[in-house]
Amino acid sequence: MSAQELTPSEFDIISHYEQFFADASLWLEPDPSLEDAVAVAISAELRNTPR
Amino acid sequence: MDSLDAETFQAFQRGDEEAVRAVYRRYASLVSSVCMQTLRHRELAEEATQQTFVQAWRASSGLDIERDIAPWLVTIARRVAIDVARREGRRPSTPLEFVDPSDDALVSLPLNETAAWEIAQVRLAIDALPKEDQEVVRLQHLEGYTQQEIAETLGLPLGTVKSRSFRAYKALAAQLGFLRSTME
Repeated sequence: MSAQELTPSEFDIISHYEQFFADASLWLEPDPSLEDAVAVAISAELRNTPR
Repeated sequence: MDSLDAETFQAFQRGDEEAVRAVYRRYASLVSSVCMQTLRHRELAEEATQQTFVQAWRASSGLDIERDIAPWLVTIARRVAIDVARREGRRPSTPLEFVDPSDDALVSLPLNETAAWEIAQVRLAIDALPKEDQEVVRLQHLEGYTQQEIAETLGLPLGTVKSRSFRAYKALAAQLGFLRSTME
């Protein structure tokens, strides 16, 4: 972190959230195929129970 | 990052495929982070992410489209993830290797609504950064790289990494400062 370039207040905020930044779950990007799976699931349900 | 426009959300409510995809692209990372925080298991988190969007669509007809749907999605994601965790008999947020499968407390649910919202807000703040700035923050915190190591990894001058880092943390502090003040 470029702490020396942040104000003390900004540095304090970033420090508070460092544990989140270091958590792998925060950075998870779902598999690209999931978008199709969601679209297909909703389309299928819509066919069976049209709105 | 901007909220969805009303027209897109109305199309989502009707089940329009392009709108469904637009909603997914806008909020997938947010939802998957909440699910992953609860489940600590990638495949289960992806299952919960998919279920979240399907359940959100089912419930969307009664939703006020003037509101940002992020809090609503976070609530659904957390509940879906908890249901998946219960089904799997896992303790959310605890590495599986440390959990006794016979532990009666496996159904305890440590990720409360406030914590889920805080995680979601951090993810939104990250998503609002330019991709190249996100990568600097990710490498610095998740991989534990120094700025020099990031520069070498990305093939960039050290000064570029420093300026991206500075820009990223300034922006994160601006976004998260408000969150912190509201959480305390």
